[in-house]
Amino acid sequence: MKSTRFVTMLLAIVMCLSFCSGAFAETIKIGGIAPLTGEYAVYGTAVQQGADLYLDLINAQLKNEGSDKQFKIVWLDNQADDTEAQNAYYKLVDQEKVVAILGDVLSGNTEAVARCAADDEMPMVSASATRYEITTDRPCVFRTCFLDPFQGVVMANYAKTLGLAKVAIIYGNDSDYSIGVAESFEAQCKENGIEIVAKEGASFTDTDFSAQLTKIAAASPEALFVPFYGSEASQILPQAVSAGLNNVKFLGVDGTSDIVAFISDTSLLTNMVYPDHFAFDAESETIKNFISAYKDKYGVEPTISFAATGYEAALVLCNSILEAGTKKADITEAIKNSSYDALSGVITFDDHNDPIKSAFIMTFDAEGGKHFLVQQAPL
Amino acid sequence: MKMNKRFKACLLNLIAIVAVYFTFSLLINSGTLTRYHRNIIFTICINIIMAVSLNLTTGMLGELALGHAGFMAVGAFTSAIITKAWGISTVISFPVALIAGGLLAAFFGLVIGIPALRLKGDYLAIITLGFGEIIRVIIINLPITGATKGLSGIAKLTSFNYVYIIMVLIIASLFTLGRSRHGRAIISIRENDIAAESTGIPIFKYKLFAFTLAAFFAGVAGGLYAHQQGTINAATFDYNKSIDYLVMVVLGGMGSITGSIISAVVLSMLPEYLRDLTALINDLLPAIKITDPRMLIYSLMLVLMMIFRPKGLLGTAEFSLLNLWDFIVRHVKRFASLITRHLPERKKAITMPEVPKYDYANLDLPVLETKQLGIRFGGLQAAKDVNIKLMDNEIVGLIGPNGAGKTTIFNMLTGVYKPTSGDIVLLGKSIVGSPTYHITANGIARTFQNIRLFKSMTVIENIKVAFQTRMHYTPMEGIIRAPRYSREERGIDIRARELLSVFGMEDVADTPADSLPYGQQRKLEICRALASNPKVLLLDEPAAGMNPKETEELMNTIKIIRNRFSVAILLIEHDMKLVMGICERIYVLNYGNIIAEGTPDEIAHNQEVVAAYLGTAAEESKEESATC
Repeated sequence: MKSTRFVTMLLAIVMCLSFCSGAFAETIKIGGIAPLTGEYAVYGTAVQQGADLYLDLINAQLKNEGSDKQFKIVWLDNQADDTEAQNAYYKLVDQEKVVAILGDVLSGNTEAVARCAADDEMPMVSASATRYEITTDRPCVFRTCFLDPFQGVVMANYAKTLGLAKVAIIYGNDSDYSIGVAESFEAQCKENGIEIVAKEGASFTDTDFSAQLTKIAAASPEALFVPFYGSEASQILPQAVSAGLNNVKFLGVDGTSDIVAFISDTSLLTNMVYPDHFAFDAESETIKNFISAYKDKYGVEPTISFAATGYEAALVLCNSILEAGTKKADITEAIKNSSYDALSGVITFDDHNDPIKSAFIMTFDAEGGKHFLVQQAPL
Repeated sequence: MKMNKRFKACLLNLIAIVAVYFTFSLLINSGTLTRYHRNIIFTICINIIMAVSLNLTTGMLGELALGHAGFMAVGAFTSAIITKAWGISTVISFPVALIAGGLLAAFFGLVIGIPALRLKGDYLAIITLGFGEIIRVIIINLPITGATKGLSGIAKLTSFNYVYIIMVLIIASLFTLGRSRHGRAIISIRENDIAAESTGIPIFKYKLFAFTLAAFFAGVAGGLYAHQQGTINAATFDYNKSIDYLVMVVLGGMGSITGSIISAVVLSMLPEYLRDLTALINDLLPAIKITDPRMLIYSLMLVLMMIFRPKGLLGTAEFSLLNLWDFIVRHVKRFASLITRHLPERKKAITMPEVPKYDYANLDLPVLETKQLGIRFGGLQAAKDVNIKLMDNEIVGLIGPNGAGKTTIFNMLTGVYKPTSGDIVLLGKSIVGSPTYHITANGIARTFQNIRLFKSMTVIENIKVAFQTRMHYTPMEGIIRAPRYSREERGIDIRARELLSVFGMEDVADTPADSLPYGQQRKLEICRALASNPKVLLLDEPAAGMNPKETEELMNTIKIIRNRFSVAILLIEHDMKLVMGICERIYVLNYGNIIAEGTPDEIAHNQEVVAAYLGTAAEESKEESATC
């Protein structure tokens, strides 16, 4: 059979390729899945760089201790595509024989991967998937970032501390992320006695938001909640000003953190506050060390907090594996009970496998530099 | 001999299909292929279904559709909702869900197709793009489809058996459909829709049929995708996904099913290899940061394809295992003949296409008559009070200077234009307002001033298209090759060859129509018109572009046609030798009015006619004085 021979040949090539990437016998392999190319590569790369930074640290430490163990993360790009993410998962688990998964990055892709991981009981830690349901009923799936509902609550509470009475919302009605955060923000505002004077839906694919913003301006709010990514928020801010929202406070979300890369008038950013998973200018020795190590390795300072959550995800995984060995159930158990010293204090997980950690309220200066304002405690 | 060849081809394909099935089943079950490979194989099969079904609309029908992923989404969400909600055994619920997903997608195809398919080309592309996006937006806003979060927790029911068997069934049915009367009708629309309609093809119905069937297959593929993936999100099914499938069809060759299959296989595996390649390049050359390699490679492939193979990998041709086999076994002929030698020759049932019985007894009345026929295009009265009579078996000429409105009258007679006044009576019945294909079925066939053949089809297929109106087997019978399909196809094959032999063209029956010399193309067009057994044959400048010898031949042919097919002929012609030589009566048209009618002799001496053609002395002197 000619076709069989062809297929076997093809398979042989595929297998050769996979053997090439795994090299040392005492290496413990962790599978990394992230969007490393395409539109969302900034987030994926941040996670990857943060995690790789921790790998350098722990491997050096293990070497010093004379241990023969070394960690390696095999990174596969998912191009922000569900099918690719799943293929990457199967490739890592079935062919690379990884003992745990670090990823995925976007909530949608993570849902597809978490599904497979749960079926296999494969321990998995995401550094950035904020959608609530990701870890629901999946005992082996964890994350090191806070959740969508939580950041909505945090921003509503911060609005209260600012003494705001009237706020408006513009949200993306085609993104469950935006819808979810907007809902929890609205609910918490009501609880806090803050009036929502306008709530307008827009699309993540829009570039012109002036219709919604004009409506909002008519309700004269004191602040505008903008649960969008940086690229959209960078268009909303100037358009809001032209619509007459001159002296309002802009309240963002964690996805807004990369707005500096997109906005042309950075002076608008001084009116912006947003919650982040991590504050790069916090006054802690651990964080300072992290930033200088990061700068040494990559030549730039970290700008997106997923670099930190990625670092923490790798930290949790590596330490749990060192503690419990490489059996799947043991690793899961170790992660569940973990209380490791991470960047922003001791990291522990609640019943829903979410980290018990606080959010950092951040703002910008006129040059686009980020500044830490205040820390919001967990619920 | 021919049947043996077909049998051999079927046998070979079957062996290949079964062999591939068992090979992969064995590899998967033994664990040689991991879930990673399995997932890629599933993706390949699903993409093949999507590509070949899109090929039905874009390749075979020739209409550019950009919303194919929308139908996939409908199928995916429908079937996922059904299997999630329906608590019975998945052995039952999954197939039912797949079919339901396909049916709902087909329904959407129908609803979208009815308005959209009235448009052509770019407009259709834009409107299908829009509808595809509308489907996606609807899904995003419905609570039952999980809104923006999509659906998760779908049982992973897609197995190799399901995906492979469904894929084979769909490919096989598209192949058999393509070789049935329905497939011919669809391809003839791509080749020349005006000619197709005046050959008796209800083009709108066939467009809708092809579009809906493609949507059905896409829906089934969506169902398989949902149950492979386990989680689905409307955002996946955006226009980029539709474009991906279009790229597969274009690269493979529009109209080639095997081409689509090959490109679907290659493009489905590409991202997996690119992943390693990109990582490697980015490691080696950090200066060049590749961000989206897939798009880069796609566009590069398209550009290269446009330069080296503008019609795609296989064009409209099909890769045939039989040809490959023949190639391989040329040296082991003995074995090949072993398979085919002892096949018993069975007596084959044949159904001839019936000759239409025109329900018309009184042959003293004209077969075709126009009464005060007129048409107005806005301010232009293109024809007015035209009264033409055509008796049975008569050859009548319609002449007049350029722009007199001759072809306009033909277009009204065949239903292409709707007259604004007057009546057309065919065999005692008014046909004003009937669609073209209907008029053709009722007895008027025509040829065109500029030849409109189905160029990529063979000569005999061109003629077979015209038997459409008198064949009865359904698309399903065509797909499963039911006895009625075989009987009718054998019948028209015999009739079509007979018809060709009348014109001395039986030798070229299996050559492509566009490779014929000009004179024979003209003949073929007449031949095709006659295949629908008309009572009235309209010839629009049949001698245009012919040399005197060919014209001579054509005159004889027209006479033979009249005698042999007992048909009334109305012809438009500028060649006066031909008109005067064969027409029994002549109508002269000028500025949309009949200015003279009579025998060739009378017309030749009619002052008004001469004036219309050459201008009068009075007019000339008037013009002269005007210019002075």
